[in-house]
Amino acid sequence: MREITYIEAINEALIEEMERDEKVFIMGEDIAIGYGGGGVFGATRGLLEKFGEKRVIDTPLSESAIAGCAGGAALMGYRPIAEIMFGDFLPLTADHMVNITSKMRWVLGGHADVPIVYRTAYGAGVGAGLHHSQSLEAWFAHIPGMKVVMPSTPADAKGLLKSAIRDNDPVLFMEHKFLYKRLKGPVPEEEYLTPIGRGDVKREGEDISIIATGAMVQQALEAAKILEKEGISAEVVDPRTILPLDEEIILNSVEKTGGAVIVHEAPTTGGFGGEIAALLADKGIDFLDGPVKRVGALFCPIPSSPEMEQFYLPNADKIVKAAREILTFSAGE
Amino acid sequence: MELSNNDLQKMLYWMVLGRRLEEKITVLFRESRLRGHHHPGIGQEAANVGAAYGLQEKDCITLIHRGKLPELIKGMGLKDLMAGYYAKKEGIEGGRAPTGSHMYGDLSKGIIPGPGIIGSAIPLAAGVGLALDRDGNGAVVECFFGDGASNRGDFHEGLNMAAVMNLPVIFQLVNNGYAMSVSAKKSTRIQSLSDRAQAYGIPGVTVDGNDVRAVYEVTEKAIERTRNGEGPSLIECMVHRWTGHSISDADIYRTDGERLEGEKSDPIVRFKNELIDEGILTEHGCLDVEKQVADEIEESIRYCENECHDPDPSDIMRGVYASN
Ligand SMILES: Cc1ncc(C[n+]2csc(CCOP(=O)(O)OP(=O)(O)O)c2C)c(N)n1
Ligand SMILES: [Mg+2]
Repeated sequence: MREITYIEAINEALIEEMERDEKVFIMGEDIAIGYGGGGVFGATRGLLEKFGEKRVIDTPLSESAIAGCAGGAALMGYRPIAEIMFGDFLPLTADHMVNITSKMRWVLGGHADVPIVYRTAYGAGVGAGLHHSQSLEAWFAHIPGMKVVMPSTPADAKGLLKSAIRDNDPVLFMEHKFLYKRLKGPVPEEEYLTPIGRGDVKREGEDISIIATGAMVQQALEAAKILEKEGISAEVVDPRTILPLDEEIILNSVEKTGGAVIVHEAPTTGGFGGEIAALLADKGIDFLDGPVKRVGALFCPIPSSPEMEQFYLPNADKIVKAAREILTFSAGE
Repeated sequence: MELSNNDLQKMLYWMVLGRRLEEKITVLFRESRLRGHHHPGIGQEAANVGAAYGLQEKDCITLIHRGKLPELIKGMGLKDLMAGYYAKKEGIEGGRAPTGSHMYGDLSKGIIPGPGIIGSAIPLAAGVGLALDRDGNGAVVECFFGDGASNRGDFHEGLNMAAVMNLPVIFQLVNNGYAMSVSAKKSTRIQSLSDRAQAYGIPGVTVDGNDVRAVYEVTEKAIERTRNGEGPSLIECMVHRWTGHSISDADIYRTDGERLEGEKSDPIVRFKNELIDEGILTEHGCLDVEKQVADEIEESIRYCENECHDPDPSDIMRGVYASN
């Protein structure tokens, strides 16, 4: 199969969906031309030429209005894609997401479609510092009416973005900026959709489950390789969407392996990993042979010096360490 | 304050320092000796110097991501700033924040960090103004931001609140006609952003940001009003952005003509010529300024590359709360 980058996959999804449905349009800052290739990162490359200014809208520097406008247009039957350049700017759009669009269907007794995709580039690892690196997914996974999608591979990015655009509820679509140009992977040439709400086993294993999201899936796969050398077979489970969460795929994996390391890039404290740990405590307690471990970032703002940033972030070594601790515990039992 | 010859020479020094510093930093980034963000402030020196030169020690500024002159004029050391670019322990924020962009400062010198969330500094400045007003020392805060930032809702809320509370805030809008790739022509329908001041019942003026003395005078007037308890002002300095938005920007959305527009009205060349014509400085004196600036920049780089230390990564856990 051909291999393309994560950002090329996103670009293809945007083009295919905008070609398929003329109600789909995209608005955001610097998306028409941006740094030369469509947007700051290149996700919207070629869109202006293909679809014109009415459907590829460069907005003023006004995040709240981008989110608000998307809400209004969605209620009127359009399918807006609101691009928020950096995930750290979501607090500026949060009012519309948290208070308005996510509650609109409910308040109208279910009689309203609110098909918005809020796309944003999130995540650390590129030295962008405290205001251009955060992973705020857990904030939004707490909001009834929202969906939160975090693809970890080019194939998932494409299939999930197409599904998000066709979804009739507001979706926060989190694109990891570190993966954009660094991660290449197989993506089918023919059309496909990846369902929202279904996880994926990225690597099969027997001894321990590593449940990881976003860029941490790559770190989990790295950790699994290290563990393999020690004779430990790790399974890597990627929920892909955290809201709704595929509980079954997580429970099935832990039933098989008896152990769970939960990994995300956001700080451990208050992170979505706590929700997964609670799921295991609630519905998977019989499967567990040892403690559930969470591996996340430190509880401080994100530093910009690369050495400090690496110290801050979770990585394969920290995952391996957590896995060993669980297995040592279970062996001691 | 009437500007003395000494003041004028000092203003030229700052402008030259700003220019050469930004040029040098751009080179250091190209050579991968520096990493992270950098938004060159080349061409915007007159606006920054004119706006900051009249500030007193007790006054405050909130920072913008483009151009380092206001903070240098307010007393930040060049070496400290440069070590920040180098993400060294000795640097202004010890490797924590992207010095090439935002969120560093020094409260003891009245230098308030500017958030990387563009425009959020505007209501922050209103709050600084509120405190200065209650302190009653006649101090003011100058809030630097761009044309792009003025399209945030925070601009409206911040200016309106400062106006109704009659706070000592000078809103310095440095209008370079662009927010990244988006032309101000596409993001507002009014000709002069200073017209927006009317909506808040405060004075708004537009000034040629390539004329350092004009910027200084307009700012002085606004500061005086403010010190007299007459409340905030909005000043719009018209400048050119000579480079792409940042060092990652290929700048393909502008024509060559547009890109080179700024160099035609180079604020430093203009000011130098004025000073020479007026007999305040000689050609030779100008070269001396260049030499002094070059030496200072070289020395700061030498300091960073030879004397400074990498920060201890575990330092990031310090200062999250008052208790650590
Ligand atoms: C809230 C927010 N939106 C978008 C950005 C990305 N961004 C950084 S600088 C910039 C342009 C700012 O333009 P302006 O205020 O005119 O300042 P200039 O860069 O021209 O000096 C943008 C869009 C940001 N940092 N914060
Ligand atoms: Mg601008």
